[in-house]
Amino acid sequence: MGSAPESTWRRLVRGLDERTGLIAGIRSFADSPVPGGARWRYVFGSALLSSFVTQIVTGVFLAFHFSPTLNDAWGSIVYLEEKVALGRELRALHHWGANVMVGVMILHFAQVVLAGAYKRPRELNWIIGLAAGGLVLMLALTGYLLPLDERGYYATQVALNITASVPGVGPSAVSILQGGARFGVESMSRFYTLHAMVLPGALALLVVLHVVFVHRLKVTAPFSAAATNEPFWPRQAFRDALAMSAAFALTVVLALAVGTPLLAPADPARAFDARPEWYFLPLFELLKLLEGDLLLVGTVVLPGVAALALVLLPWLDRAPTVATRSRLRVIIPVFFGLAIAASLGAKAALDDANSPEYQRRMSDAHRAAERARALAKQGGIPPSGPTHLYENDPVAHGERLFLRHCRDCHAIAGDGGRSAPDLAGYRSPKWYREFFRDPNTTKYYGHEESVSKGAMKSIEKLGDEKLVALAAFFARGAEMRGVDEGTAKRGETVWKGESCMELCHTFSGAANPSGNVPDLKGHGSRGWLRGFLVAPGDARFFGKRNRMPSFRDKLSSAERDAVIEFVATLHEK
Amino acid sequence: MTSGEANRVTRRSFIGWFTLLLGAIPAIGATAVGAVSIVGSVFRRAANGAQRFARVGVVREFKMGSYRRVELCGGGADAWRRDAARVEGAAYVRLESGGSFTAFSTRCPHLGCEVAIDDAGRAFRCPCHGSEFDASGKRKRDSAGKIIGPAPRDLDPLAVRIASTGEASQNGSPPQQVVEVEVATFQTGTSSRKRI
Ligand code: HEM
Ligand code: FES
Repeated sequence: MGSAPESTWRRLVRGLDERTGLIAGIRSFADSPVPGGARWRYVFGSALLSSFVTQIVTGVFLAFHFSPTLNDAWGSIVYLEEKVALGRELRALHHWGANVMVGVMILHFAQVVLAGAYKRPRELNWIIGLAAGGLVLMLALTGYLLPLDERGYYATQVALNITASVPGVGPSAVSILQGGARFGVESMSRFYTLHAMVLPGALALLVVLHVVFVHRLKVTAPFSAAATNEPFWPRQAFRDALAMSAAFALTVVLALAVGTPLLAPADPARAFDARPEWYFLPLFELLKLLEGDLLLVGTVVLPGVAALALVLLPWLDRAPTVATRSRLRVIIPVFFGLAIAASLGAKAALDDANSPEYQRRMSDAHRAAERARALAKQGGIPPSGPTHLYENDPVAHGERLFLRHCRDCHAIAGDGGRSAPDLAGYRSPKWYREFFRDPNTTKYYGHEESVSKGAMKSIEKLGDEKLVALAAFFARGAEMRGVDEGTAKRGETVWKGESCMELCHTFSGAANPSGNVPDLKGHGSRGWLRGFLVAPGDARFFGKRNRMPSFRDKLSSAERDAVIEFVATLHEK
Repeated sequence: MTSGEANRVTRRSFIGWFTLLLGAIPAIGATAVGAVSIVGSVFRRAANGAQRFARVGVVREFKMGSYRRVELCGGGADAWRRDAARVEGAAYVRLESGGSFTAFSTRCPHLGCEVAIDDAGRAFRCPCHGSEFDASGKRKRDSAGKIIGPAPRDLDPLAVRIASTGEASQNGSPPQQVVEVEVATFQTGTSSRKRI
């Protein structure tokens, strides 16, 4: 065999090795002794390293598509997801990769504490690991902002406000982070630079040091393990490789099964319930518990003490060996802390899951997100940014205005204030029909602040047939489409025949002489609503009984028209 | 070699390769997805496949015989953006004696510099590598009959159409006749004309 000519491949490898020491390098890793023999509990570090590599790869590819500016960030993500081949998957891999990475990091941490691997001579590597963990959390925090949807934007505002609350350096730190006293165009550049360059670079440096030290100092075997060693290759290598693939498989499954949230574009003028990712929920919950002056305890003191205790752990642990028994004084507090964090996080999640109010607002937010995405797909995003998307769509614009200006008083199907009529179903035949039955329920004029309660009486005595017709007549007058013409005609006859109604209501389109009962001509139509929003206290509308504010100055006429277009869709609710 | 030994060797090398594969899957998978996402732009059709026109002025603003430079705002989409005011290019436009219009893209067919127009508005010269074009957009030749400059083809013509603004203005004057020029870009450096 010895005389067989060397293959080209081997010659290449040998040539490379001569110049780089490649084979020796690989050997030194492959043969590096694993104390106590191959074990599953040693795999977390490799899985974490692999997660980091995946984040870098997906992150760099994302950077090819992402536009880190206030007006374009959200649009570039929508475009990525809607138009770019595998764009949705790419973003999902990065998003879920970050979650998996944090999860694996927690497991790695727990394993190291259990094994006592922070003990001499590995104190320095323990601290490097903690610092790397801090960088990962900062990467996750800065990345969360980037798509600039409501979730990322508001969560980041909270994080920045927490930073600002730190006495002394807080406000300056925030100013450096966001490039000024207020969040703006420069903030995006800074967060993006931190997220995609500074933090990954710093983390890569720490990771290299960490791995070099592990190679040098070896892993810590359990106290009871035999004092024999086994080379890393192949049995430990196989376990590590399997864990790396498993972490990736979990990422892929989450990415494909759950999808990646993208809410509506961040709009500082809209309310949103900021929530961080799951790994920051414990801190979030802590802030709920510590109100007022105690804020700093939750934001600075407790996390600071915990971090300090972790840094000092190798010196706090006086046990002579890594035997679990002798280190219970360290292990129990650490795991107790983890358990407390987990329960705080779980409590925050449960509170939200059980809060109809929160669920309602989230479903609002998801609806807004769908509409924004549809508008962006349809017409593209104006150069003035995605918050201006809605202005081309009166209903969407009107809905936003309604939520901001009307919902405090008017609910829609129970969702909103109680001090004015609930507008679900407004101007549909059904709405009028139920109104005739009992105008004094809380849905109509029996709400909390009503002064007209009882002013309008039930007219149920007219009988169902007449009232159905009358309802159709009014719905037609209110420009409802699809109202049966014959029924509406009959309703008109009913209206004219029942002179008792004319005693109260006029049907002229002009002021009512009594001055506090609405004129009914075109009631609920766009024209009627236009006049009504400007001067609800006019004698043509509710006159002296009116409790609704005028929107003459609060909204422009285009905005009033948009709100009216939205109100015109409420019959669907 | 006994057969048992041979077995062990193949088994070991199989597990070895399998281990390497498992370790590489995350990086390979993520790279594959990312690579498809950026290569995909080659296959993505331009968002505005249809012919688009930009309004450049009213008919009577154009003089017969000499070219005027106009900017083209086609209102086209640019990935996720739609910006009606975005300038997508420019054209030289002139009115012909028959009442029709001629327009050329201002981009040089050589490598895309903007060709300059002479003071009379009748001939073009590219400042980059010296190609010259006459009033009908044809490449000029020197006294020996040789084409001047490296441009591989004549200037690229753009379609022109006349439209009516549709609405009479407030003082009752009739609707305006406006000139609209096609918004198009062409592959440079080729003798055949190809739209991109
Ligand atoms: C350990 C490393 C990293 C972690 C933990 C991480 C984490 C995150 C997170 C949580 C997001 C928000 C994703 C979302 O929900 O939409 C994000 C977004 C982003 N990251 Fe990273 N990242 C890392 C590294 C990188 C690197 C190295 C780059 C680029 C060189 C990068 C580029 C981006 C970009 C462009 C976005 C915005 C795209 C989007 O939101 O979908 N990331 N990152
Ligand atoms: S670009 Fe015009 S001559 Fe080269």
